[in-house]
Amino acid sequence: MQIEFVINNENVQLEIEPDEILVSIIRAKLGLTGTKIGCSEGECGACTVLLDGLPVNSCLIPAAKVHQREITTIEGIGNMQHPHPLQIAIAQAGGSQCGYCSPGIVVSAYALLQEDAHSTKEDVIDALTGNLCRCTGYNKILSAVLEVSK
Amino acid sequence: MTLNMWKKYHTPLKVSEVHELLQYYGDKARIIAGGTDLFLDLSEKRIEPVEALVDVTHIPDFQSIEINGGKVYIGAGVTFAQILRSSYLKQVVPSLHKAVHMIASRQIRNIATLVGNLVNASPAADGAPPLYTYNAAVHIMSGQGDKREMPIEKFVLGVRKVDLQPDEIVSAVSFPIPDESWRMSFRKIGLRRSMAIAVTNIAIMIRVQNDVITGARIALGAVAPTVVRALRAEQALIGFTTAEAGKCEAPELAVSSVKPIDDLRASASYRLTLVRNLVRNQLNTLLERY
Repeated sequence: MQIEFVINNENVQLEIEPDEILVSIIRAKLGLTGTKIGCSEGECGACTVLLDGLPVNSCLIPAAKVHQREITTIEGIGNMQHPHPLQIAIAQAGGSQCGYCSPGIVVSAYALLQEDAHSTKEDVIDALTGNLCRCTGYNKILSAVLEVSK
Repeated sequence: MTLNMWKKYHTPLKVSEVHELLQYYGDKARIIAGGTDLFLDLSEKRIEPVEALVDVTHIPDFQSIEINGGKVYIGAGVTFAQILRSSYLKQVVPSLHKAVHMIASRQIRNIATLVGNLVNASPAADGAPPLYTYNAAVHIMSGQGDKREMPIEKFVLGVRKVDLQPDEIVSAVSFPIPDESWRMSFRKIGLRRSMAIAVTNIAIMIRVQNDVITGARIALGAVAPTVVRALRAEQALIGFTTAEAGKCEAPELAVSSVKPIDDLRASASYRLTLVRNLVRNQLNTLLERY
């Protein structure tokens, strides 16, 4: 089946199998490998993307569902040439070790700041509950996000 | 990657199209809203692959929260996030607001729906106990165009089982708006503060007039195949003054109204302890507000 959607501000048309999963078309068909597959069951948040501006687990979403909708991946938020302040802050604070959770964390934190540019610690914790990190212990991620949201 | 879960994905724009599709596929199609439960059932092979998914999130009538004739109607496509954004619901049904906030994570709440949570009928569904205390009703549409309304406690039959025919869909859940004489609370006990399935959850509503308890509703989840209203505990509370209510047998009566099991999250005996303590503590908290 054919689907059309906007991804990182670009229009895309794709031929997909009806039961393809969003994260796999993002990575394998569109080559946007910043979004990671962690658990494949919507628990870890490594696959977080924005769907119409809202963070969702792309490992749980049928690709068919995003027809005529808008997706933002980590690549649409920042990259090596133009990193987002969240990416700089997290990297400099030591809030990224293996880096696998980091794109999902940035996407979730970005969505929070879009909603409320000056978030409290409770807001940040609440926004990041769906993003697991096995390396850093979260504190440096938290302080980096709070720094950016001041 | 495709895991051979379904062969066709339909996104009808009208209820009549949904019914045509369900007629066509019989029991080989499933309704999908957010899909956060259904998708995993399919991808983890807990259910057989289906012919088709019928996505109901583009049906305009299903996407809204409406207030009409003293009732709140929450459409089948309304997400948990939408419910949380409603300051009206936060004000009139704070126990539902709190329960929804304790579900999963933002990523899940942005696509998962309250109606989906009910139809999925996990005994631990967090959206369910508050709705049981509001005496909520489920609105069902059949292929013939018939509509029926069922009390939620009749709709949910058992673990992952609801009273729904293959050609029927739930269009909304509704409940009368509780008036301000009611106070309500919700608690969820899990192994983590977030991203946790409830070990026990509880919603309580209580009404006090002239210092006497005139109404009580206690709904307990994750301690029986379905949510249980602790009717004898509720009845026992009626007539107590706020000062004397601590002497009421309600916590023990609540314990005797449930049948928890041992499972990987907790033992039955721990759950019974939770029921007793939660009923007692929540009653104390609610009665102090008078």
